[in-house]
Amino acid sequence: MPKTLKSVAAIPPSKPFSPDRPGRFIESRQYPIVIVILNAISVTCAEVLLKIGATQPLAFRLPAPIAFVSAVFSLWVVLGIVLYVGSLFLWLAALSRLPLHFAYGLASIVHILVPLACWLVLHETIPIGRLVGMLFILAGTLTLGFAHK
Amino acid sequence: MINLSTLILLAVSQFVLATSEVCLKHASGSDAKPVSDGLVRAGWYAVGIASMATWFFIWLHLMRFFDLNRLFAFEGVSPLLVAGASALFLEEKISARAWSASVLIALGIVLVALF
Repeated sequence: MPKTLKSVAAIPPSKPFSPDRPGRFIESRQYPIVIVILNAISVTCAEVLLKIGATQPLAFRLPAPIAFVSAVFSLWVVLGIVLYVGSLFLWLAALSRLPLHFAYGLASIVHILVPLACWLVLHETIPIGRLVGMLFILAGTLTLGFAHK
Repeated sequence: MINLSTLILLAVSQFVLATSEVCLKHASGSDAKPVSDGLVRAGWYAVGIASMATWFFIWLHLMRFFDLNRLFAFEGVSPLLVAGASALFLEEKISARAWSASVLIALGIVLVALF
């Protein structure tokens, strides 16, 4: 067997950092990074949905001790919770494929996505200081991404 | 009112959050430590999710003492804390570039929270 073929065959399929192979995106290095980004998008959508749900008038109000649960009777809030739970599963899927410090740092793009979504969907303003902070996070995640082997 | 006990609680919340991430990572397996058998794995998941819930309720409690943006500024330490915990407890090798990236992200989170 030629040496190169042997070295490819020796890689177990479950190895976290398997090299890119054509047609196998699920085993590529980019796949877990895409999961972390999907997790951040999912959290961002959840936050926006919860914000919309929290600002709308309540469908009905529960009695005093459990009044705070009343917010759950909103389609927006339910969708937000579903997305939050979904993001936890995506996070667990990413953790099994990436080192924790890398995945956690990358997941910080949620601090960029949430202000952007607030600006786009909720028409909130982004002060210049926050914009500078978002650029710092972007620089940090890109540095982290390129440091990843 | 912000006093020593709320600041200690704030530090505890960040440590509990880092603990939960380390436990969830233990359950998911890593290069250094492959996925353990079912029961041990379930145990790590249970401790991870329980500590994440604990962090959530401490955080909710702290919201009574801090403005939300001030509180979120402290979240900035979490990338550094999680990186430190990954190196200590998960034997992850963190390059100088990854450390500087974590510092940039931490600074960014503080700026996003404060403005």
